[in-house]
Amino acid sequence: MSFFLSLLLTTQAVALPGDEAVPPVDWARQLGIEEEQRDPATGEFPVAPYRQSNANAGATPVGGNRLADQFGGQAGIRDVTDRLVAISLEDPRISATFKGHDMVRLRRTLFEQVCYLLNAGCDYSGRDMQSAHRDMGLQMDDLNALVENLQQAMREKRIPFSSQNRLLAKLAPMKNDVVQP
Amino acid sequence: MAEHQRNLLFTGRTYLGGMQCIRSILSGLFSLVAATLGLLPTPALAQSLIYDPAVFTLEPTAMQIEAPHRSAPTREFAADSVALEEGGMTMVDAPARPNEPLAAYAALPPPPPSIDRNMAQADAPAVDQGRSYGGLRWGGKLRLTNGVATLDGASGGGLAGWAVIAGRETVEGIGGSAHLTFAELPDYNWQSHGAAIGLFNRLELSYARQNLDLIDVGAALGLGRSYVLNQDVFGAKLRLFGDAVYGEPWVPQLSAGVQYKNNLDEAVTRFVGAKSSDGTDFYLAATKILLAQSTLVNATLRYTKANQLGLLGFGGDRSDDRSVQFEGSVGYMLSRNLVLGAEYRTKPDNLGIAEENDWLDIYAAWSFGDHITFTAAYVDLGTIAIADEQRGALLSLQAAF
Ligand code: HEM
Repeated sequence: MSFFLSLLLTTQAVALPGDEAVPPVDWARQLGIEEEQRDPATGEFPVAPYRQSNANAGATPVGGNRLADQFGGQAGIRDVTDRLVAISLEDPRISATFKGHDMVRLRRTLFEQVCYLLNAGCDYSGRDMQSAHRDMGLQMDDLNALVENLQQAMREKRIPFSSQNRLLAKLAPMKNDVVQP
Repeated sequence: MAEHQRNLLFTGRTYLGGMQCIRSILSGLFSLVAATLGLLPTPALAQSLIYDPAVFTLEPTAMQIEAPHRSAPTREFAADSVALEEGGMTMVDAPARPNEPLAAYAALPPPPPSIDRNMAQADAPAVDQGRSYGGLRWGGKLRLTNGVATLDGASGGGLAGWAVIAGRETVEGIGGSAHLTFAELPDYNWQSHGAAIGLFNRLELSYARQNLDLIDVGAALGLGRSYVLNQDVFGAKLRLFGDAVYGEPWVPQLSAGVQYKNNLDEAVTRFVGAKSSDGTDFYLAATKILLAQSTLVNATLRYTKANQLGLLGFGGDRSDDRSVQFEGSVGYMLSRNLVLGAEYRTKPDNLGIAEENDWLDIYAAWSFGDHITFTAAYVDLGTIAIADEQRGALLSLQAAF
């Protein structure tokens, strides 16, 4: 009985009616062999479509402008997030994780996210934290390393420690979306 | 034969007094040096003892600076399938790309694990710090989040136990620590040392040796001047759930622990009226770092009948039952290397002839680099045996890997 059933299933799978409609798989592109082109305007590689929303930032913004001011507004925040990316790319603990990813896009989305969370007048246009970090196999010490780098970037901008922690407080609950269970 | 040896029936132990104290200090120092030097698994770790790793960076290689192409099909698949699940997606600053039918994905072989961390590390620049060792990863905890050794040897804040697990490891590794603690009080000198292992930031196994030099109280009790009380404490602590740093602020790290304490001066514990010279404490600890407030809070419930941690035995004429005691701590983080705080610890009061008070302290904990933590505290231990107003200083040094 089960033999016939499996036979039935196999034949069905082979003789799928809509089979001709399926375009041949572009193996080169699927395997990333073909180089994609950076967008001439933004300098970013294209990404798969997703629904844009500030909710993707993973937390709600802080109230008031005090924190944004302490970070030096949008310009200060950009310094911090650019520096975070730069430090992390040089950090032997986690640099390999960033290899092959679009750093132009990461710099932009990371800036937008922090700017949004600190209520400094941005919208977040990136992906949500879970799909952005899925399958990267990130572990707790990767996250701690990134937090240390963020602390260093903020320290270099002489942001008060208590203000640093208010940003970290917004990021800390995202751990479960970023780190493998 | 010295007078104190006639007064008390000693059970095979010889009196060493000051000598014993010096010996235990030396062995404490030894375990500290061993922890800082001998047990460090790699030269890179030893290097980070000297350099602050956050400042210590290596020359970037060209490859690290810019990603020349996308070599990450795994992630692309994932992102694509999300988009397909959700439907109704918008295109974002990207050229139009047709949605492949699901069948195309079903037909694909498992994607190459190019973002798998082992692969990624294999083709990473040759600057691997040797963190991964036999599948385990060393270190990785944020500074000070391993706490400092309490007098009982478990990790915490000095007097109060916390829910944190010893060592610098995260859930992926094994860590450990060794400590040496001194307290100088008007009528006593405290010295303790010990070590702890942290397994996967889940289980902590600890040992501490406590030595209390009775100085003149020893003579007053007929034990001899500078008689030293000794106790071994074996502890285990299991993190039940939660994370002290991450996750929602209202979900603390919760741990349950047990401590078996074996007082080595049975004759003295009997002399002061304790019912037993060994005993077991059970405790439940909740710890959270409230990042938005830069504040650490801890609350611990301990079920115990130890008199002065057990140094005066367990149970007594007033009560021989365990009672629930409270340990609370707060700490304000001034920087990632410095915490100032206060603690309060309630204690049982089982002995009629030796009143016991609650303890409190005000502490500062500094981290020097990733591995060394120095704690200084003002402690008020109230009345201990026949001497009251025991206020003084506590100093503790901890090395962790
Ligand atoms: C709470 C912590 C974290 C936050 C808030 C965060 C934030 C972000 C953001 C906003 C993006 C861009 C999403 C997009 O492209 O639409 C991103 C992508 C990325 N993140 Fe994170 N991240 C965190 C943790 C980490 C950690 C620990 C690592 C690795 C050590 C990491 C590595 C990456 C990489 C490689 C990308 C690029 C993904 C891609 O190109 O598809 N992130 N992250």
